Amino acid sequence: MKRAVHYAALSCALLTGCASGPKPVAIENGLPPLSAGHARIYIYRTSMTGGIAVEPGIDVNGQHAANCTPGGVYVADLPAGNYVLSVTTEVQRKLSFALDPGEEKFVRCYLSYGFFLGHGNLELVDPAAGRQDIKNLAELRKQAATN
Amino acid sequence: MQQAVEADPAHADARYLAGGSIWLEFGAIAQGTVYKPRDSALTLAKTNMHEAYVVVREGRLVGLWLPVEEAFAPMAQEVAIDLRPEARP
Repeated sequence: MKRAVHYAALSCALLTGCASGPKPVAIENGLPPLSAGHARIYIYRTSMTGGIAVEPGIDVNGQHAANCTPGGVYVADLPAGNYVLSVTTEVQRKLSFALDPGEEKFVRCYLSYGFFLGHGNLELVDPAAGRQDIKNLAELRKQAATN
Repeated sequence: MQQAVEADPAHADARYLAGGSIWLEFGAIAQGTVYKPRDSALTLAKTNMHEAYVVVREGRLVGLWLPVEEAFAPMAQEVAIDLRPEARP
């Protein structure tokens, strides 16, 4: 039995990176209400995308905020305003968007083929699709609002 | 928006705008009236991705407005777009 558990843990580590944390039934239900003048972003990567061993960092307005971790979702409450997210591997890719107060935005990270490493990419997802995507992901870190 | 539209910006990937999608008037620029999607995400994809709103003039989709960059990106070819006020219950 113990061996089976070890195998399970090893295959988990090798195959998926296995993001762990509260499952997002709790994510959306367990989040506090947004503060006045703030908006919420979800940055996630489904476990089905390629390049599972590569977890590039994601910056929000130049500050490291998340990693592109398979099966994981980061939640951040941010003041309304303009934002540029960037992910860097062999190349840097950026996504810019505006956040209005009370708004929720969903950002999917995925890897595409590169020369040596997969290239990180970010895309804005329709809210309905984003909510569906994060249902089976694990929350990695809930960030406090900045400013 | 009554009918689906394919937005084909010059020098960027085309985007499909779904029929039945809802757009909110955001403001006006020299090229036309800017509408923001309410329940969907629209981006202009070149090397990087930029959130985008549609710009409409006289019933034609003439370009995209990038709110962060505050820049206008024209369509390679303008297309008809049928935006109507949402029916009130």
